[in-house]
Amino acid sequence: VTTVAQEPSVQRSSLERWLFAPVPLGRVAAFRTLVYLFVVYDVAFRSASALGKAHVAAGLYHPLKVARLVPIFPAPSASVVSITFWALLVLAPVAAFSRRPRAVGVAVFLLYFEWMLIAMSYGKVDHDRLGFLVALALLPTVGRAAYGDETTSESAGWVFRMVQLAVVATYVLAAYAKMRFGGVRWLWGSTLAWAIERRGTWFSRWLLSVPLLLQMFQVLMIAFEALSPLIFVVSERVRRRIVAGLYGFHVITALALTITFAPHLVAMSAFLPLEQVTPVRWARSLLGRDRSAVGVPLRLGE
Amino acid sequence: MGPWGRGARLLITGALVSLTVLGTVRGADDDFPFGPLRMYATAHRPDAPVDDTWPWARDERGREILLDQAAMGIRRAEIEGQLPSFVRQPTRLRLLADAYEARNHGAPRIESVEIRTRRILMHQGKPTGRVHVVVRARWTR
Repeated sequence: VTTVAQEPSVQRSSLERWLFAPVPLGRVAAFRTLVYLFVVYDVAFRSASALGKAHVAAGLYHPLKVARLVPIFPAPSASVVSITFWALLVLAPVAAFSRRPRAVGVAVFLLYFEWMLIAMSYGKVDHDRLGFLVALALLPTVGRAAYGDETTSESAGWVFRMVQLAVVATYVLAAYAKMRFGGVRWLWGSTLAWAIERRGTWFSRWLLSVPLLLQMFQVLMIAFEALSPLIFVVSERVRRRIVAGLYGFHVITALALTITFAPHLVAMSAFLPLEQVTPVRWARSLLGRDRSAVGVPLRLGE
Repeated sequence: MGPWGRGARLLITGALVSLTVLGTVRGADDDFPFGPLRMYATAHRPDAPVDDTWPWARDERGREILLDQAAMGIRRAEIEGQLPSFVRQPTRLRLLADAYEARNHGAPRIESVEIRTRRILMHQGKPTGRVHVVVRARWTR
């Protein structure tokens, strides 16, 4: 008797089908490029703070729990900082173009995690990169992936689902944290006025004279954060619009408070059909060259 | 994907979801990367003053220098995070002078560092226009 019990799709729950909903490998290739090039940009241009740590006397250093518990992450001496810095600048571009994606991917994740521990062990922890760290941690679980490859993969689908979950958790758990730390008073408090007074811009400072408007924004913000999981139940068309709306929200936040949440924005692209972005092919077709010859991976049966 | 791969991924899923939720419900910043997502989660009373805190240095030529991230590589939020320890032990401000001098070779020597708070008085969520400047901690070489 031939059995179909081994066929996984037969016995799966709908939750599993959702967690492992396959996506094209081309999306993995494009997402890798985005994520790992952001690592280069982040380390090279946004981490002056972490680099400065090499000069700071150990007196300001308070290691985070994970560094205290897991001794493989060394304390930031000048040499640890510069080794981590240069290793990331060399390895992240390699991973960006899917060369040895598993080994190099794991190395980049560990190095970037150490870089985060350096950046966040001096009195301030950032809350803008849960999704980004999940992407770095899990991308190595997918093997080789070529740009434009339309072969779908469940293991790739799982990585994207996990990043999406982390991105949405960032909103919904932020709403929870506001209730936990601020309480209901948060809604009619003056947190936004406080934020604008401290780091407002020409774009936002006028709002200080209209506190009622700021309080309305606070209510709207917590409502959209709390309702953000709905993004998983709407249609694909609506989902894209919501993602566009979220990017818009972050553009406004950046203009108003000069806070960009940049790693979170990179992770949020996990909701988009990135495999359709093929700049090399566009450039070739613009130049009038044969577009079918290059950029498309050769697959059996073609 | 084989049954082992699937099982492992389900386990990782469960672990990540539990740690993230637990971190927000019970955890603290120290639990990075699973700490609570507490950006702007503190409630401020509409009549409570807004504190704008910065470290300042004075060099041997008497020039005042704002010790921001560009000047010494330490972020303002980090100074605020460690403010209680600077208030308790103002000699720790020497570390900021060291950080500045290490980044600015050949610059005139820092003679003193102080942390100043501009306390912006508010009324019903609006700035009143009155500002008090308070020195929180001070160190002189």
